[in-house]
Amino acid sequence: LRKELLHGTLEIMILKTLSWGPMHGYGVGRWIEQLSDAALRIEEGSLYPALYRLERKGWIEAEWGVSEKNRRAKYYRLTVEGRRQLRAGAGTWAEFARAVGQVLSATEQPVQS
Amino acid sequence: MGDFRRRYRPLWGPDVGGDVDEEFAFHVEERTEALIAAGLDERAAREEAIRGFGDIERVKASCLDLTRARQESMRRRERLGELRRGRRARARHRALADGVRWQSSSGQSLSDEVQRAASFELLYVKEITSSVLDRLLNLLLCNCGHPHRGQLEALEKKVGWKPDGSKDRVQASTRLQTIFHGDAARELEDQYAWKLQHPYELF
Repeated sequence: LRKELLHGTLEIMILKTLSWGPMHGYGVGRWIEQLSDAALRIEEGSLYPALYRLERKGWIEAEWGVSEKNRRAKYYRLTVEGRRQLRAGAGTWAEFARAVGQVLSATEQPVQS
Repeated sequence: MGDFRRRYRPLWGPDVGGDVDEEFAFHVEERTEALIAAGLDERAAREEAIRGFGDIERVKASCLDLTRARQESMRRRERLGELRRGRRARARHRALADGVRWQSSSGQSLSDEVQRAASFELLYVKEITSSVLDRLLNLLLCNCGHPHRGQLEALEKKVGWKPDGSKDRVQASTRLQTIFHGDAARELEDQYAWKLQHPYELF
């Protein structure tokens, strides 16, 4: 469950960053880091397998291009299916986070049934 | 990857391993520059950038496995698509050949609309024999001439079409009547949807 949860969370964050436009793997990692105020630093060892997993699922597609510094880079973009998955996944994640938050912020012991 | 190999890559197909290496190298370069800008010296910055990958060979192997699996499923989909396209093309050719034979034997000309409908029909019907096709063309041609109900029934009788029940009969007649009187494409699509549920029946 833990592995699936981590995979799912990382994948949904990647899909979210790519919803703004095509980006290379390094840029995706940087965006996640910036958006989380440096609270989330995605290790490259997790980031790239996640990108390849998403590509295999058909949620993103890749194309070689040239970066701002004129280097050859592999750019990922969201597919139509990826955008659909992002919408579904974001909803599920928000529901999950709300439920966990509700449990953790509880101040009274539940009633014994 | 060298420029030569990149330029002539189409000659020997994609170099998956080389692509992963190049992608990781790009990442290391970008990260090294960012760390240098943050105050690290070049050697420490490069070591830190590489360290982020952990066991880089394991990560690379994982990415390669996923790429190969993706390529294999793409190849499978393409093969399946070719098979389907081939089957549809054969059906289409057979339909047109049979249609032309029927046309010359009956002495009547088929309108474009009828030919298009017959081709469309043949694309989605799994198995169809010449006699079924003849019945289909007869029915379509009859309807194309805006027949009244009696003419339609007479033709259906002539071509030996015996629907199972009165409900089917009404449904078939209504369908025939509407195909060429309304928006042809839309009606054909409706017909196709119905046909999928009854692939071996003629209307």
